[in-house]
Amino acid sequence: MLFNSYIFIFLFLPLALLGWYLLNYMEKYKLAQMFLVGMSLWFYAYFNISYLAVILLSCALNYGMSWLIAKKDTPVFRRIMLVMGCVVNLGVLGYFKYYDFFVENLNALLQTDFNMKNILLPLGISFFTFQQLSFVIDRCRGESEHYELLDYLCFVTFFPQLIAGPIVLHTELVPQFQDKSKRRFDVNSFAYGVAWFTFGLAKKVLLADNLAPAVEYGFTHITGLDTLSAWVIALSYTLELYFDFSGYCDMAVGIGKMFRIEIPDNFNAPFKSASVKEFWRRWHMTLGRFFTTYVYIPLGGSRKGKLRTVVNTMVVFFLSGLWHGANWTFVFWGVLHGVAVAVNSLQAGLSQRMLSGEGTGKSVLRVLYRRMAQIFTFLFVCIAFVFFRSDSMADGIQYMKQLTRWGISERILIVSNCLEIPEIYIISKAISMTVDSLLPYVNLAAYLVLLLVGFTLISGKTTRERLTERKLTIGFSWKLTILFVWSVLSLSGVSTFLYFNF
Amino acid sequence: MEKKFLKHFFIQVCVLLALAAAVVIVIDPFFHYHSPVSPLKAVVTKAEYQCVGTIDHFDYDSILLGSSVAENFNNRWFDDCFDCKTVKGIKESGTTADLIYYLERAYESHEIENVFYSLDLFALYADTQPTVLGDGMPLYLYNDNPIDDVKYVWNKTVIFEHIPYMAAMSLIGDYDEGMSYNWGQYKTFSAADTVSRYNRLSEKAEVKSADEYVDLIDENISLIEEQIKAHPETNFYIMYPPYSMLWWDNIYMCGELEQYFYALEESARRLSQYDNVRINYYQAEESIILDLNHYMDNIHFSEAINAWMVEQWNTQEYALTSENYTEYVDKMRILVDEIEAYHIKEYYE
Repeated sequence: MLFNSYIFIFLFLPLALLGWYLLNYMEKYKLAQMFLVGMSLWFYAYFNISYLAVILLSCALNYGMSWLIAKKDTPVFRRIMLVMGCVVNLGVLGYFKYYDFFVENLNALLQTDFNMKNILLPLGISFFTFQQLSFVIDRCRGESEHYELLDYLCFVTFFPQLIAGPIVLHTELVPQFQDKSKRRFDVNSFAYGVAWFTFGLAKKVLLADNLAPAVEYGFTHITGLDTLSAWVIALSYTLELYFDFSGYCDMAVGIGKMFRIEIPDNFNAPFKSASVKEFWRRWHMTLGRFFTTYVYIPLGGSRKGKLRTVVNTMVVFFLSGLWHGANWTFVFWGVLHGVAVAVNSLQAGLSQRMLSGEGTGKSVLRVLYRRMAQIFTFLFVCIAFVFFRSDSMADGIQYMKQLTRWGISERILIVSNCLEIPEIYIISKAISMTVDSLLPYVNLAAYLVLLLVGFTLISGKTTRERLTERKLTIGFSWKLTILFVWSVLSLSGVSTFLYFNF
Repeated sequence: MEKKFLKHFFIQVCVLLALAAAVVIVIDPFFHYHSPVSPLKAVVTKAEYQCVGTIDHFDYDSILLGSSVAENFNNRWFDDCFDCKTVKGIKESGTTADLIYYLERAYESHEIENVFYSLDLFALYADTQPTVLGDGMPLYLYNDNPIDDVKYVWNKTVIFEHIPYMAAMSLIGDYDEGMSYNWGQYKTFSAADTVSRYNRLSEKAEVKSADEYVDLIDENISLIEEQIKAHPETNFYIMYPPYSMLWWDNIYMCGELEQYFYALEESARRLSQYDNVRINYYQAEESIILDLNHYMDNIHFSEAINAWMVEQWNTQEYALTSENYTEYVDKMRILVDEIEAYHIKEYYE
């Protein structure tokens, strides 16, 4: 089930909230948790019921390991469980997500002909696997207690964070489910939750989804792009991805608040970063936290010299790339970021002091330096995302050629025409009936407005800053109403069925 | 403060969403609930979204069934010719099962006097399950489930595009309601365009056996036949639309000629035996199919040809019967031979 769907907004979510608060009000706390787990499994199985077996098996295995540790708590047994936990979790993830990728590369490398299985990837497997892996590792390290089954299932399956994160730690969620005082309805938390959800929904359906057709056009017609359209589409994709993912995370945080469960932020104005290293402290923060805690630091982090720091950084970003998808494009994207972060880590002297603002000259210069660094970081991120979006390395490299091959045509007008924004239909139609030649420029203007809104938002406050500073007034309720209704009306569209090429 | 905020928010949301739904339900540009309310006209441009609504709610006694080549028929031509009131059941690239689905749907709510059926040979070896009920189609307009109507009543494309378009077409100018789904007005028809859009195979493919699709063709013909038998009170007017010589050349080059001739001969034989069926066969009309200026590609002809097809119902010139259907098939075979021997060489050596 998607957050941005009628069934979720008008049926599932009200039902889940009603059942949760009603059962807790009746002090049926266990039943309330069972209800929430049941609803979360419905949410998960809505896409494909066969996915249920995978998540339930994964929960059973990890919870079982925790139970075994509780029964036999010796250092050796913990070590065995640690190895087992990693093998089982990464084995399941590897099978479902990377089997075909592995076979494909093996066949290419050894000229063999092993069959691929075309395995259907269970939704959110990367997220709930990492979440549970962190739990098992903490159990083996002795940093976590064994939880009650219902608490554990609530932690793993809680639907707001189930299929696309944030990657929430057990230490963040389980205590909240155990806290009975959080089971009472709180109007303040609920109101902010509604606002948070609406902001996220609007980011997703009004911004990301409107940019998507232009991006789709660009990445399916790479060789036809001129320099300008290639750059505009690369920027558009960066915005689309950000609004899509951060919109989803805002909705998750908002729903969490409606349940009085705090879910951590996943983004903190990432495009204000003045270095790629800083970008990774602001972008997909819970993934960065996972890799830092469970990979980078155990490998030695930055404590073992510069070379090891670089190696450890590259390992983390290689894995991060691979985690995002079974394709060399993701790996390359990860490696690109790894190199940039490694360079940032090794940077010393003026540039770093300038960025941090320590003991440098005039403040104007410092600000200017930071602005320049922000622009370069943003451009680097945009370029790297080209590989993230490309279907193959060949496509990514071709796109790079389009970006750097100088040439301007009217391609940007064709790209703009892909947007098909219903809100400007009347204007477009009126112009097409009067001065038809102006129509492409109207679409271009709409595209530019969309990009401008996007840039304004990414350079402004985060959702948290916007909402925590704001009082929930009647005036704000009107603004939120319009945003919500506009978003709901945007959930459905009318397609054009193209059946033959005129 | 938060309580008041929430109260206002939910009331406002309910009011605005109710308002949006009310506007869509009253104007109803896809005719899901009713036929157009005066002074609005039946502005019909999107078959997948509007066909079932028009079939369910419009006032008519005759239905025109066909694919994209039938879209340029003006309903009024049939109304004038047969003294009836016609509505279109169109599916672009429509299969036989799609058209029969529309017909069955029409019978559920109307007494049908005439069925005008544009019979595409390629539709006779399509899947026998309707594609109109497949993924990607707006099924919320096809079922009676009021819950999924939210996709229609809370749909910004409907509100910002289709309602203003319907209003504008109804109130400004002289919109012709008979021209539903017409695309011919936006296209140019010429031999040069037609040839430029045709990718002729460089070598003739291996000839395929007619047996390959026999079962499927027979099943598709049965779908039509069952309707003819079930509704003796309805007159079925079946037309074989005149595809260009390039279309015939294409199936010849693809080695599929025998399959198409089987579809043609078998459909003609089986459908012509009923008293409530009249068939006109236009595919062998040389003055049309050999003149590529009538076409925009190898299959789609201009509105003038559609008009001509309707006019021929007043004559017996193209009538295909159980007695003469083999003559038409033979004539078509000779014509295809001539196309390959002479006519195609005007364009391809």
